[in-house]
Amino acid sequence: MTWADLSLIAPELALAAAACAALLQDAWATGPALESRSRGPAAAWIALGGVCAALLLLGVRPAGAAQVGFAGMYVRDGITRVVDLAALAAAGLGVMLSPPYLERFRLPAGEYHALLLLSTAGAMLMGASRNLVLLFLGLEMLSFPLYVLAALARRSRRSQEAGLKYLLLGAFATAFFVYGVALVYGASGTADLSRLGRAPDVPLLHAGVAFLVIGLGFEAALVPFHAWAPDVYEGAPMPATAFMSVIAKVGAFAGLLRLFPQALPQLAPAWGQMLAAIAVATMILGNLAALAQSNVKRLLAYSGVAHAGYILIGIASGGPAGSSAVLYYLLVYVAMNLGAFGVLLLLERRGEEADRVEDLAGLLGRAPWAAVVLAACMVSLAGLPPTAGFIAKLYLFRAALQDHRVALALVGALTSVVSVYYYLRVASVALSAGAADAVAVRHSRFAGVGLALAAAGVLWLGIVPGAITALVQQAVQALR
Amino acid sequence: MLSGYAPVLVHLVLAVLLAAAVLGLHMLVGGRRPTVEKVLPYESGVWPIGSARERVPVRYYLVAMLFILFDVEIVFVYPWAVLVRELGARGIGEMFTFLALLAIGYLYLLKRRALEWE
Amino acid sequence: MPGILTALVAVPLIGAAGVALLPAGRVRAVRAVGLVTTLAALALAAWVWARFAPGTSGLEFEERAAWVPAVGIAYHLGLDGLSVSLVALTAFLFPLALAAAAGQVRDRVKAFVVTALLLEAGLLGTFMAQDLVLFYVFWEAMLVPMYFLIALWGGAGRAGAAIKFFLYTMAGSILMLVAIVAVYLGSAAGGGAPTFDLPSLLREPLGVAPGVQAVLFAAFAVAFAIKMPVWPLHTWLPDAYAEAPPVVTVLLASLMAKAGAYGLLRFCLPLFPEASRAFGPLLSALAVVGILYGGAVAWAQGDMRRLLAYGSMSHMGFILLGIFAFDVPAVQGSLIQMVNHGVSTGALFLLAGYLLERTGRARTDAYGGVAATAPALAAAALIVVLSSLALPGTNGFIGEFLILVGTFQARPAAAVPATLGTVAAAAYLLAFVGRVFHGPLRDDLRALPDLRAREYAVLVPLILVIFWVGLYPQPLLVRSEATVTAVLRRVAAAHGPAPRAAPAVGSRAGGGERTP
Repeated sequence: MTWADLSLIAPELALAAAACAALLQDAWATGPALESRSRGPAAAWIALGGVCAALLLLGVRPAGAAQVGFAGMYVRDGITRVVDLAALAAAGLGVMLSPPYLERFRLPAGEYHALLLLSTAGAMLMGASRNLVLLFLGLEMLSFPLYVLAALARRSRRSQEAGLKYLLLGAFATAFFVYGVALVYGASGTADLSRLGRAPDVPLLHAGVAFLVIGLGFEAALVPFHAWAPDVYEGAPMPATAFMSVIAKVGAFAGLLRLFPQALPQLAPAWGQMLAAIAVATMILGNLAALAQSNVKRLLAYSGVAHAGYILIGIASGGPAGSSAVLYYLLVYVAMNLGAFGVLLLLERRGEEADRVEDLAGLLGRAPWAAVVLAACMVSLAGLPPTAGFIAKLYLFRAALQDHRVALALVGALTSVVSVYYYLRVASVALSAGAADAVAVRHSRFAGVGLALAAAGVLWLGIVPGAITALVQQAVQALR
Repeated sequence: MLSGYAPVLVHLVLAVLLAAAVLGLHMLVGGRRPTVEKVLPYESGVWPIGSARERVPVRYYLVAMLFILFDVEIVFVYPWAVLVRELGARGIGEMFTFLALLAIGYLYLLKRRALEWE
Repeated sequence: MPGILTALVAVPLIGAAGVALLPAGRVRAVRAVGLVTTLAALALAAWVWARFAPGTSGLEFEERAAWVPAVGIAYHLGLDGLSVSLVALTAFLFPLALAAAAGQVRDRVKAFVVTALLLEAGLLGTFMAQDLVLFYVFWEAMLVPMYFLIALWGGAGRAGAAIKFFLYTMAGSILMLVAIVAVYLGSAAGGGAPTFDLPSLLREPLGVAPGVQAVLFAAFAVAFAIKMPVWPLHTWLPDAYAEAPPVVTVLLASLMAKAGAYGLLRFCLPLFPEASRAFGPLLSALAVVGILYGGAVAWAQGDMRRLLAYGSMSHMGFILLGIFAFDVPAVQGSLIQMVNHGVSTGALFLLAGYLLERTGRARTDAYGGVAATAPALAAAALIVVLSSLALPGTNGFIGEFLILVGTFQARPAAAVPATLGTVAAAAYLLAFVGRVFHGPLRDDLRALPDLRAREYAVLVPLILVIFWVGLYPQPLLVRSEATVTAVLRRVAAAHGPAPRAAPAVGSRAGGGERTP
């Protein structure tokens, strides 16, 4: 480890430092009273400072050639850059949108922010992995804080259940991942992703890759490894749900990106079919299950499953087109999903989370801008122009057709028609005339700015996507 | 590549065979006369008192976990201590960074009063 | 430097932003800003329409800028003979619709006006976009506001009707999106960079196999056919038309249906000429079925808006028939008929809306003798109905006459049964007028007020256009002729005989020969 190595992971270090600071600050301020009411937004400011510092450190580094550190385990290239951007956007929005909720439901702010930042750093490590061992470390660093976040509401049985379920199933999936790493190493004699491309095509390698897919597929909530998602999403406190719904996808798909299009292009014929089948199953099941939901958190959980299926189209199609589509979709997904959750975080129904669809009734009358943001995010999730979700889907269809995966594009297209039904239902309830009397809307400047940023992202990536498309295009240039 | 491991395999097979042989022989030729004393959880003459499912204060687990956590970190310190001269100033710096991170965790626990038994 | 077409799209958007910033309580200000915005758009559109130079088939007022250069998507707007009159029609109908809405939409007015303005921007953009992705963006961008207009301000069954409408249209258009991407990738077959730009795509034949071309044609055509709608893809229509607020029905029938027909002319015919020829007989047959089926079902409807909805569908059948006759007069007739249908059907739905507004009754048999108490309303209704029936002297005559003349030449087998459709239209429309306006006056309708000043202001411009087009259609024909000829030459070049010459009535314009 040298100073050069350390400067390479400076953004991650900034997050870790901010996490420690937030933890200590809150412990100092409130002492043993974890659920203390009288806490300012200091922890949130520290976390936000950490995210901004990381963004700055990311920005000052020239976007030139790839740099490798830590004995070839860590790589900072175009893909790292975009993944970091997505992860930091998720962290920044996650921090900005939660204060009203944390305050109202008395969640320990220091712990929340520290865990959020550490999880973000984990996702960033996954995006920078050039070695299966680092990928595993990133996966663990990503998922462990999420287990705790899911169980953060100590007084809520559902939150405890969610945390335990997530932990047990997650540990199970991680075990698969480690086993996969071992098998791949056994088959190829290396854990270095940049050398896997020359590995002999033996059954052991395929078995190992299958286990890796299980481990990553669990985090991304791909069918058939998605069963945890609805329960955990519904039970976890809403800010945690919001954040995990995006960061887990960023990390997992960064991992899949490093694994498939980049490290194992020689397996594309065999694995493209397999991944395409998983993508089809995920899109169909996620969308159909979401149709029946009346709880918005569950609905967004299944919608998250469905979107995992869409993103997998890009991985299955591979190549520069598929990879750039994945990267673009991740950025878009962060903005639109957190925007949707951000509006829900402002609501409260008689001391509980307002997470039923009908709780949104009449939002337009009380918080018009929040209602409009929610509608815009729903339209974007449905993949309709002029929002970001449309450009993201266009990219995916292009990748699929370029790789002659017509069926994949068609299933993606038709399932998005299905998804319109439930997304627009949410949006039209929010814009309808009725009023859910029991529901109160909290106004918070902090969250307001966060929502504005998310909405701006949804529109910006949809209307003037040029800058970001150039960024992702440049990120995947090295792929062939 | 794997041929170097052949002795290990032979060793494994022999160990399994031996254990199976001894246990199997015992089952075949050994006699069994169970008595009340013999089937007790503790055969050595200690009468069990009360149920084994005793409740322990939850703090016990907390402290026990924290103890293990810090205890395991010591594992890293031992090899460092042995090699401290060879590692030089840089080794000292690295270890103290590590200890500082541990200290942050410790301070956090202290402030949250996780270590107080009341 | 953004040009006038960008301004045309931007004006409604700026107006929407302006309305959004007003306090929701100031309803009068909200309505005023909305109306002024649409009038400003109308002024721009009128200027463009007047300045449009007939006789060339190429794009005018063209604007192009890189949008997503990474994948070859451009911001490319332009007008030609196919679109210039439709843009004018759109800009013409919106102020009228907003004015009429003042009496019908009293709830969440601000949101209504904002949504309507977004819809206008989407529609105008749809007619002007020359890049496939840009077109798709506008196409869907008008769908979303329309969904909300139905779902939030509609009648009792609005939620179901809105989602049915949306799912239907979306199912069609998303397949079109996949086809668009396929066309894009196909355009690189010759070795060049793939492009979404329509004029560039038309420069050389698409590099796809004939079978693939047929599939792509079908994907585009289904999307447009759903929007028109073409039988048998029409089943969303009665619910949506009947549940939407009356002014929104006007926009649906007058403008969105036209976007479907326009899409066929703009994309299906030029991009897939061989497939268009191959599918032509089938689509003509569907058009005839639609004409007859729509007419027959309209005749049997008791609910006046459903009656008008099926009638509108029957009339759209004529437009489809004209397009797939591949004959210059017929296609020009179709284009004129698009404008006519927009004006006449729009006026019919407006009148139905006025009746509903006064009585709340949807069924025709709940009326009777209205002419006695509201003579002006009855007179307006008669004029509009006669224009729908294609009475000579009104706009409908010009359109249907050209379509039928052209079709008789090209597809006599389709033209003969289609003429029966005009008879059916007479049956159901005159029955409608008879049941509602004539006969003994019902006692509970004695207090029915006649047209108010505001309603005059909406109906008079429509009636003026009805007569203007009926008596002097030349300006419309001149504008469309060159482009239509060029499109049909392209279709004919695929194989088969060249299209017949332009009709005498428009031939003075002469014309450029460039392909669009």
